[in-house]
Amino acid sequence: MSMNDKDNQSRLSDSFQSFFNSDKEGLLAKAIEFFPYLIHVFAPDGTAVFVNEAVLQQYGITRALLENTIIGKYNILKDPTISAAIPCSLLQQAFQGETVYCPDIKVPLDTLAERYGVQDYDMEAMYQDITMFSIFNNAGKVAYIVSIQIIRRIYRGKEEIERAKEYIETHWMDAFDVKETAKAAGLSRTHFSRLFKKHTGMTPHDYYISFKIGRLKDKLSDSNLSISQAFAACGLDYNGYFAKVFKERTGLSPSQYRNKDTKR
Amino acid sequence: MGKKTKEQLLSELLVLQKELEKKVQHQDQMIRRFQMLTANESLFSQIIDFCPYPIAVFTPQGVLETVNDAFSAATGADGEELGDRKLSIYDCISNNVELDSAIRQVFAGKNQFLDNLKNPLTGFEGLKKKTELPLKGYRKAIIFPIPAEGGLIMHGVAVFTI
Repeated sequence: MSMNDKDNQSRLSDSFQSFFNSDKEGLLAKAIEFFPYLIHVFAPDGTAVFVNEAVLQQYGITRALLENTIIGKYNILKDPTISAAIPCSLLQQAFQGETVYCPDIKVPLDTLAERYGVQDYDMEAMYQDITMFSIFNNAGKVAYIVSIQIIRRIYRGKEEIERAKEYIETHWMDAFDVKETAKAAGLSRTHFSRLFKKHTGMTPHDYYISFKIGRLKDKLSDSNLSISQAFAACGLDYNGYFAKVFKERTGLSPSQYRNKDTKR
Repeated sequence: MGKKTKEQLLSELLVLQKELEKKVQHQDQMIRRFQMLTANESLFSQIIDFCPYPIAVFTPQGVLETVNDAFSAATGADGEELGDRKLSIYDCISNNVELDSAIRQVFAGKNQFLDNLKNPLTGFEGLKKKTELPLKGYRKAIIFPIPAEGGLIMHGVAVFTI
């Protein structure tokens, strides 16, 4: 790449960056993009106009699927699973410009999995609180209908994950062994790591480290033990790498943690 | 300086390839965002403005950058005047330890979900100018970071729901 190309690219990148960082519309676009719950926007005839990133992630929707089957194609008013989940009168009210709140709506996961070609959502059931409101145009007419879906309850209940947690919590004093943990869960190593992260939000190793830190915190709170003894009681060496891990995870060194804890 | 071995050259090439892939990925992301923004021009600010739940966008220093109409209606904070007033969200929630801590943690990159809050907006009552709307009813807060390019978190967003 020539210097000129590089300069141009860098200038372009800076312009984009400043645009997204300073412009109010850019800032709000990012607020919608990073909103951790699901946002759908529909035209007054029910056609999908926009969905945020959380929708794609939650339901495993690819960009291609979004463009080919959802935006401009999917119609909420013609979806029988929606009319089965949300009372028809409420949906009508929402599309007539009223703000509607539907608490604790069960999400039709099987239908969604089939629609989006997802093999398994790895959860038994999900319930959402749905708020629908309208955006009006200058003439006071409904221009868009927005649906915000906040997850209220998720039921996962995967036995394998519970078995893995139990194994980690029993063997936390030993060095972490993903192979043995996967074996305890009765799953292949790759499948296990993926499934564990989906269910707990952390990798098996992170879970192991968090559990170990929790135990170390308990020991550090025991004023009868020196800090080295607290480490030793957890099978750790105070001068080893774990003191650094502790600080990275908690923001405090072991001695700072102890001082803070005793002041409480 | 001696000649590099074939393995060394290959490994250098791999590093270069990875760097290029990273750059292309970054560019793709920017283009996608820009496309999304132009395709939905003004829709995003409308979603936030028409949202029935109070929403506030703030900086790491706590300065309220923008609030939506529901937030203004509930507290009296005027979105237009916020820029001049440099109002700090921390001053308004100093009596709510849980909320204060959650807002600070957002800048460590974590989403925060608070439940069973007791009138989290009462700290903003001092701002009340135009409205006497009740601040009660909001019991939950969703607080999340907005990372800028490069991963730095330049803004946090708080959404108060029922």
